[in-house]
Amino acid sequence: MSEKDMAKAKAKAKAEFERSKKRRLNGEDEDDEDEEDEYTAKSKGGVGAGKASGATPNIGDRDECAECAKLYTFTKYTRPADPGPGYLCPACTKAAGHDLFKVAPGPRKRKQPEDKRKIVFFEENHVVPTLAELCLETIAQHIDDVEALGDIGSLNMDKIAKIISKNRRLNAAVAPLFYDVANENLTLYDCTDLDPNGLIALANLNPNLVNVRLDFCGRMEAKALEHWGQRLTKLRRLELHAPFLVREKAWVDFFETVGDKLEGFLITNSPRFSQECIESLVKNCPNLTELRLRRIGKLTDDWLPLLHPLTKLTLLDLSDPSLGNLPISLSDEPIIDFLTKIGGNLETLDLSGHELVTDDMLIRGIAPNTPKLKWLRLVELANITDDGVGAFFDALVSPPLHWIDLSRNPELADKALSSLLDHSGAGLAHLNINQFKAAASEVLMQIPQKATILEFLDLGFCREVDDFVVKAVQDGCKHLKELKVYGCNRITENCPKKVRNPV
Amino acid sequence: MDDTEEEGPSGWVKLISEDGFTFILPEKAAQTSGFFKSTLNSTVGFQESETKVIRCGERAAVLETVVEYLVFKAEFGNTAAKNAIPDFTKRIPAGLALEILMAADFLDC
Repeated sequence: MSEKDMAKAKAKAKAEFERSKKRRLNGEDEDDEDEEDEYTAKSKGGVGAGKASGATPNIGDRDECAECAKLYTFTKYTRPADPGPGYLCPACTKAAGHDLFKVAPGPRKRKQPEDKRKIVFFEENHVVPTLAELCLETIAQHIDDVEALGDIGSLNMDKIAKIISKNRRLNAAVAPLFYDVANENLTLYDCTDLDPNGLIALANLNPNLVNVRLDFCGRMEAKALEHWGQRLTKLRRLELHAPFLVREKAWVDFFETVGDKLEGFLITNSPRFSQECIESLVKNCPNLTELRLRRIGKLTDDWLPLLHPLTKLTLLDLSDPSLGNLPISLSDEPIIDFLTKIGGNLETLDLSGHELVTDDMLIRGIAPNTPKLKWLRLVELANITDDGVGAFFDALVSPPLHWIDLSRNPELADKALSSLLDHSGAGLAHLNINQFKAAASEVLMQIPQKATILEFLDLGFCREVDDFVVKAVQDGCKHLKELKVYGCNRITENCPKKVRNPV
Repeated sequence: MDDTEEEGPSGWVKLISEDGFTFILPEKAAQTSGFFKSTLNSTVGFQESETKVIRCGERAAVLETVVEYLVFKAEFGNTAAKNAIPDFTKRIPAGLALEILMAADFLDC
């Protein structure tokens, strides 16, 4: 300590001594303190907050102990007397059994306004990642050294593709797991993370692809498609879900490049696909056997005559033409003309969601012109009637259908169902009559009698379905794997459950 | 693990791998897998919930890592501090990662 400090300390001690002397002479009081420290409105969070009444001394002040009246220096360790008022000197604090060096709890921290504004929408509870995520991390780390990942050949890679997509982890780093020079088929279920360059790389690494299906390929772009057209020389079937960025010109160029090799073209959700694209498709790809233009948004009656040359079609899907709220629908006559021309080879037909379609189209369009039909989906056709659908199945020239979905047609009931069963019951494996709300119990009972090889049955919102119908279905359809009865309110808890045969 | 007997499900579960190896782990740890949790749920009434013995379709090498992970998750699943959790990826053998991935997907863990 320097001389100066010494002098300072001495002066301070002297001043304090004078003050205490004065206090003693005046008969002491806390008022005294008030006088010399006028600012008494300490914040509530101050040292020993609110514990003692009256003024709170400042740190460094000399104060008198409430217990033994001795003078002591007020510090941040000083504790209030219990009961108050006043504070305890260190000796009395110790005597009262408190820890001398325990700091009084500080003021409660207020949240910064900035933090207050931040809204936490969800709390991350799962700090520990799932084992699946950890495995995917490991796989991504070793993706360049596929041999390190063990014998892949014995595994079901399609299942792994599904698992990775389910975790939404398919990206350019993991995707090469499914690539191979000799690969002819490729199905990726979630391509959200594959950017145009990733899609170009896909074509480079799988030059021999014949059959490609990509779901959620929203980042597919003109340049990727162009590259595919040039690079994938063996491509025959292309199935894309939501390639909405691809422009008209890119489609046209693509069709010109692939030409008559293309046999399957299936796209969903692509509002830029225009009439010009269709013209190019029909002109350049005469060998098309599968065509899906689902949720295209620009589909009109004018397109159908353009499609007439496609007589080899086995699969036709023009369902759900509306994209968004704007109602779009094909109408009867153009469809009838079209099916008259191309229906001969059709095996799979989906004309769901066309509001303007009526019974006429079914009876004159589908029934006489589709001798090879196996698979039929007619969901949500607002203008078809029970009688009309009944007459349609009576007139249908095809052998029994294998797969039928007539859901979301609440007008359909007894006649439609019994004609359907009479025509197709013997071959039916999949039947969806969700929302046949008025179908009578007697007709429903015919399902197990006539459709004995059913594997899937959806009876949702069929109001007459009760425990007996369910039992009859279980007894009659020995191959049943799935039965849906959502919204069948007559079913009770006594409804029989199928017991797996003991092995 | 004494504390398992006080809170939640007590006792142990035996897992038998496809090739006949057995793994015994606390039921609390097994419950962190969605599949084992519903299998052991007594209200559903599977035989497994009585016997506490579950036959798994995975081979031992795969099941071993899964069991290790389940115990790891039971141990650190409630830890608030993120940096206190050790990195489990080091315990996944690269050669088995795909198989473990399929098992993890099936067992929901």
